[in-house]
Amino acid sequence: MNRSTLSRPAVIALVTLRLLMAVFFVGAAINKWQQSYITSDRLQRIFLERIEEIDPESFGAWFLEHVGIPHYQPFAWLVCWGETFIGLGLLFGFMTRGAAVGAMLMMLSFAMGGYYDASLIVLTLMFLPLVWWPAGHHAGLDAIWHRRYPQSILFR
Amino acid sequence: MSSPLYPRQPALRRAILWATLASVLLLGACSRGPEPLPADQLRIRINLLCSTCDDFLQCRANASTDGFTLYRMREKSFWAQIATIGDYLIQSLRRKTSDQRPLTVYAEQNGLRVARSTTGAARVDLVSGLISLPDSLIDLRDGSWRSLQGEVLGGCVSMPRREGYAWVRELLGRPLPGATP
Repeated sequence: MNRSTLSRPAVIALVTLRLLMAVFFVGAAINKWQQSYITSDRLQRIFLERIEEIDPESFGAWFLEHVGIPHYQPFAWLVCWGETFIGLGLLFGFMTRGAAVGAMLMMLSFAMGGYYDASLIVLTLMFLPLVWWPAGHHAGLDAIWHRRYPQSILFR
Repeated sequence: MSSPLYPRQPALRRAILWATLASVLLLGACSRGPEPLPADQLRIRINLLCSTCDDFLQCRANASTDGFTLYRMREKSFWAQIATIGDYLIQSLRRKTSDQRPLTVYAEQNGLRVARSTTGAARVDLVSGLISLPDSLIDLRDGSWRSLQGEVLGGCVSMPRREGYAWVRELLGRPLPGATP
């Protein structure tokens, strides 16, 4: 379904969803930067606290123990920059579909990495409309960049 | 075709449809199913809508001094967790008062820890205030531990989840990263 087939209420709902998710991700990113994830061992301490709260026989516990805790720095970079780029992409409607796919992958990674919760399923599914419909073509930069580069999949 | 139940005017049809829907919701809200026991009357509290929770119940027999049985009501399967999202959304219409959870039974006697069973199920009923286990019952109101025939075996308390996991870690011989063995 392309832009022209969306009704006005659908466009309003889609853009509202995009902006709400943007606020969610930008807020999460600000929180990470304020807590100096990249320059401190904050994430490692969070992982060490988390591993006490989850089933020792779960994949999440194995992952935290063998991957997350010893190699926390790359994850700190991924989380900080990932949340920042996804939040800004959704906020400005720039590479929106890519940002939404990135958000879904990030949710999936959180779930697999010891932070699984049933609400994550719902949260992940809430990004599907932003992947399916061109949410960045309405009140977003994708509309401009798509006109300039109509062949590029980044701005569709 | 026109009848009092199927009027010709679209506006009237819409009004009847909305009135019917509102009535169904209102009736549903009026009868939300049996009333669960108030949480403040329970010594052991179980959150039925937490599908990713492990609940540990430590039960001591009356005669025992240094041993106990540890019942672990485990988190539900993936699809059961999906179903719980529905339970959560419709709780204003139909509240959840009972649940079935996978069960693992551990025991500790004289410092020796064992896993006795990993295949059973526990049924939690917040209306009667009972947890039905394969070998016994736990009364959530006073924590009493009873045989299936109702004879009092001892008492149970809920163990904080962190402590429960720490206990299981020790049983498995998997200390926390950074912990001194």
